[in-house]
Amino acid sequence: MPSVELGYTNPFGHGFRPYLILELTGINQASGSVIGLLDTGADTTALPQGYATLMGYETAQLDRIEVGTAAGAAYGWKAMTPCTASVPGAASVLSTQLMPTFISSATPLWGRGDVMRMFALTIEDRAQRFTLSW
Amino acid sequence: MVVHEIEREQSESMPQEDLSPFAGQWVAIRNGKVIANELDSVALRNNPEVESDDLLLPVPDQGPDLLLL
Repeated sequence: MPSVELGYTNPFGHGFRPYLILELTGINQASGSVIGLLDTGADTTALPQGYATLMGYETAQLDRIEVGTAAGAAYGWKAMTPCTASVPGAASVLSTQLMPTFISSATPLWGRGDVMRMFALTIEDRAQRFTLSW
Repeated sequence: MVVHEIEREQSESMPQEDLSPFAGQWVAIRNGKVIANELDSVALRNNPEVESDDLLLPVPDQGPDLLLL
C-alpha cells in the first residue's frame, strides 16, 4: 500500500499540527490550494466563509445548518452542490468530491467523512508527523 | 514517484515566512512567500498581483494556547 509520511507544520506560528494542503476546485471550476487541519473530530469538511465566493457558491446553493463546535452551537452554510478536493501531486489517485460547510472560522478543517475517505490516516503525535496511505 | 510529488508539493506550498503581521487578513502565497494581502477573499482574488494558482488563505488572529475543534 503506497503511503507518504509528512511532518507537522506551523504555518500560522500558533503551534505544530497536522496541516495538509489540498487543491480545491469550486463549482465555478476555479481551483486553488488550501491549507487545512486534519480534524478527526470534524464529521465533514468545514471552510472559512470567504472561500464560498471564491468557489462560486451563491446563497441559493447553500443550506443553513446548525453546527456543533467546541465553543457550542453555531450556524454554518452547507454546500448543496459538490466541489472537488485532491492531494496536490497525486490528483489521479487521491481525489474526492465533497460538500463543505462554510463557517465563521479562519481555519479550514478537513473532515473525517469526506477528505479522510481518500486515504487511511495515521497520526503519530509523539513524533510530530502523520501518514497518508491509499 | 507520486509520494515524492506529494512531499514536494506540501513542502514548497507551505508558507515559509511569519504570517502574524497579517492576522485577521487574507494573504496570497507563492513559493512560500506572501505576495499580497487584503481584508477579504474577494479583494484578494481581484488584486492584480495575485495569480490563479497562488495559495489564498485567511490568517487566524493570535491563536489560543489550546486548540479544541
